[in-house]
Amino acid sequence: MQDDCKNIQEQIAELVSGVLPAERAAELRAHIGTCAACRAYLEALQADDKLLGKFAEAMQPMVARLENRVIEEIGDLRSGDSGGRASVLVTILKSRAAKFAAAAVIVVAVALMMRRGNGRLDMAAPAFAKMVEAMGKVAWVHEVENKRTRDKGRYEEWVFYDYSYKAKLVFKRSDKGDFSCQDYLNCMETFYDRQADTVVIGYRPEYHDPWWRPTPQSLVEKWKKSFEKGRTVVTHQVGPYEGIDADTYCSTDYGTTKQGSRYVASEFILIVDRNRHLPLATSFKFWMSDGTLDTDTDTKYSYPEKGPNDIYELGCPKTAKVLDNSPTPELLQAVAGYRAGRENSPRRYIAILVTGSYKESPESYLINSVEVHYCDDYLQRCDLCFFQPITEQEFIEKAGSSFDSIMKWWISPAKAELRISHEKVSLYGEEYTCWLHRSGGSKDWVTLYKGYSPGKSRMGPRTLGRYVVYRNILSEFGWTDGLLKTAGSWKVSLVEDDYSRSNNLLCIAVLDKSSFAGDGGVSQGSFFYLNPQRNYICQKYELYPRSNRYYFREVLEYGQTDSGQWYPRKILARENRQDVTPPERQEIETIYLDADPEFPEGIFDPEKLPK
Amino acid sequence: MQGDLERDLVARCRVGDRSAYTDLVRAYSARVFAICLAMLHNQYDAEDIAQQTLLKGLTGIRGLRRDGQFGAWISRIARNLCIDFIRKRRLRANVPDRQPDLAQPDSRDYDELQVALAKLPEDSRLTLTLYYFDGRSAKNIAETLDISQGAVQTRLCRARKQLRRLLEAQRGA
Repeated sequence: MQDDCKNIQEQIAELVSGVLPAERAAELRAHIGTCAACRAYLEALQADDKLLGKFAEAMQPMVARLENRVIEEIGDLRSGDSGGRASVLVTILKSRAAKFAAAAVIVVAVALMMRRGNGRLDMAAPAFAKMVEAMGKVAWVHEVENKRTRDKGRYEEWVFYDYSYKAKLVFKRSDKGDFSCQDYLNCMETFYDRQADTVVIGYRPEYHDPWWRPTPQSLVEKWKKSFEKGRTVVTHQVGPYEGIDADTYCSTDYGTTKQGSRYVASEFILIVDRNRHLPLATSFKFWMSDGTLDTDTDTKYSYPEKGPNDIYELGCPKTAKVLDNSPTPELLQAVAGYRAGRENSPRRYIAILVTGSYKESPESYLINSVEVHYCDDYLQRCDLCFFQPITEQEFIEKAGSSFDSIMKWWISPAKAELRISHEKVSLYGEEYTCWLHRSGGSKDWVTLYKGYSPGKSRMGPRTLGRYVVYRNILSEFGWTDGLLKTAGSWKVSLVEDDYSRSNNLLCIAVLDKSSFAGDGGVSQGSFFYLNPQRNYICQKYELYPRSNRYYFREVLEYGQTDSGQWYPRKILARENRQDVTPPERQEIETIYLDADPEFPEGIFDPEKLPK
Repeated sequence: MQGDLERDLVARCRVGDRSAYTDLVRAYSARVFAICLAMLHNQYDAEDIAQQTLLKGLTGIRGLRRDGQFGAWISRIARNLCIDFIRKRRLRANVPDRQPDLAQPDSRDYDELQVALAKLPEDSRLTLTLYYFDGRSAKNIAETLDISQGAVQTRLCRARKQLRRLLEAQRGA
C-alpha cells in the first residue's frame, strides 16, 4: 500500500461519517475509484456501519421491554388496562370516540375547560377500601378480559386469595391456547408450551412472598391510579348493571399528554356492586393524538365458590408431554435447613466490608473500598468510601484488622488520609429512601434522592432494583435466589463431582436443559456446593453463563458470631472473561461483624445525614 | 426531544404527573440503554441498570435544576450507576432467567462485534453505541457526554477506525 493510501484511509472514516468537506470528499472518491485497497477499506467501514445499525436494531426489543418494565413500574396510564362496560355509558363513549376521531384538537380544548373545578379522587375514594375488604372475603375471583386493540384476544384468570389477602393460586387461560398456574404457597409454576406441546412444571423460589404477589389491594391500587391523575374528571352514577344495583365511576383524562405526544385522552370505567362492594366490570380506553383508539379493553369479574384444580380443567391438552423440572423431595429436604438458616439470620448487626482485588497474583492485591452496613431489620444504612488503592499491609497499619479497630478508624479523622475518590451514604427505611454521594473533584455532597414514600409503596426501596436495596448482608452473601429455580428450561439436581466428594459437600447443579443440546457441553448453569455442617452458607459457587463469555467463581471462608450464627468471613470471587485482557480478575471481600450492636444515635434518621 | 416539550414534561413530573414521565422514558430509554450496554458489555445487566436509572430519574426529578437538561442529567445517572455496578458486580445472585422470548442478537457477527466493542476504549465505545442506538445524532451524543459536536465527530471517526482494526485482527486470528 502506498503512503498516500495510508493517509487517505485515515480520512475514509470521516467520509463514512459524512463530515468531510464536499471538495475533499470528491477527491477521495476519485481516488477510491481507482484504488482497490482503499475501495476495500471503504466497503469494510460501510459494512461495519451496517452491522452496527443492525445490531442496534436487534436490541430494540430489549429497549422496548425496558420501556415497558419501567412504565409498568411507575404506574403507566396503561397499567389500568382492564375493562368492562357500563351499559349506561356506552352511548356516551361511542359519541366521544367519534369526536376524538373527528377533531382531537377541539376535544383537547374542551377538556382543558372541563378539567377546571371538577372533583377527582374524593368522589370515588370510599369505594376502594370497601372493595378491598369485600374481595378479601370471597374465595375465588374470576376475571375475563377482552382486548379489542393491538394484542387482541380473550384472557381469563382465576385467583384464589388466602387468609392474608394474598394470591395463593393464579390460573390463566387465553383464547390463543395458553394455560398456566402459579402456586405461590408451594413456589410452583406450571405452564403449557404451545410450540413444544409440553406442560412444563417448575419450581420458583422467588414466589416465596414476592412483592408482586397479587392482592385485592394491588388490583384496586391499579384502578385507583386512574382516578388520581392530574387532569382527571371523575363522574359517579348509580343504576343497574346486568340486573345488579351498581355504582359506576368514570374517570376521563383529556390532557394525558400535550400535542406531539402519543396519547391525548383516556377513559376508565369501574362498576361496583352497590351492596356487596365487589367490582363487577371495568373498561379502559386510550385515544391517540390522531383520533384512533389505541387501547380498548373490557373486563368482567365474578366470584365463584370453586376454581379450577389444574390447567387440564381449563382445556390444556391432556396429550401434551410433561416436563417435570421440579426438584426432588430429597433435594428440597437437603436445602430446607439452609433456607431456614438464611431466613433466620440476624437482622440486627453492623458489618464492615473491606474490598480489594488483584489481576495476576495475590502479591498485587490492593484494597480500594470500605463499606459499613448498619442493619436493624428494615432500617438500613450503608456508608461507603471508595479510595485510591492501597496494599493490605498499609490498610492494616492504618485501621487494624478487627471490627473494633476498623470502626474506630472509620469514625476518626485519620480516615481522611486516604485519597478518597467516592463516598456515598444509602439509607433505607420503611418510609424513606435516601442516597447521598460525593465523588472525585467536587467535594460537595449531592442529594440524588431524598424522598419519602408512603409505607411499602411500589416506589419504595423494595422495587427500585434487584441489586442495591435492602441488602441484608448476612442472608444475601453466600447464597443466591437462583438456587433451585427450575421454571422454564432450568433443571436442578443433586450431583457429585470431585470437589464435592473430596470436601464432603452437597453439590447442586442448576442447568439450562438447552445446555445439553449440540456438543453436549454445559454452556449455562450454576453449581452450588453446600457444607452440611453450616446453616446457610455456600462453600463455593460457580457460574458458567451463556456462550462462555465469562466464568465466575466464589469461595467462602466462614466466621461465626457469639450466638453461633455462621457468616461469610471472607469471599474470594474470580471472574474470568475470555474477551478481556488480562483474562482473570480476583476480588476479595473481608467481612468484620458485630451481630448485636449498639447503633450510633440517629444513624437511621434521614434528617441527620452528612451535609 | 424538543426543548420546550421536554421542559414541559419535566415541569409536570415535578408536580407528580407520572404520565409525563412515561413520555420521557419513551424518549430516553434507548439512550440510557446504550450507555449501560456500552459500559457493562452485557445486554441483560444493561437492561437492569437502565431500568434502575429510569426509575431513579423519576424519584429524583425534583432535584433536576434545569428543566431542559433532562437528557444530560439522566445520562449522568446511568453512567454513575454503571460505575457502581461494575465495582460491585456480584454475579452470585443472578442465575440467568432469560426466556427466549426476544430476538437474541447472538449470531456470530454480533458476537464478534460485541467482543470488538468491549475492547474499544470507553469513550470510543460510548460514542459509537450512542450513535447507533440514539438516532445517529451527534447533537444527542454531545449532550449526553457533555462535549462539543465537533469532538463527537472526531471520536466517532476514531472509533470507526479502531473498531475496524479490532475486527480485522479478530478475523485474522
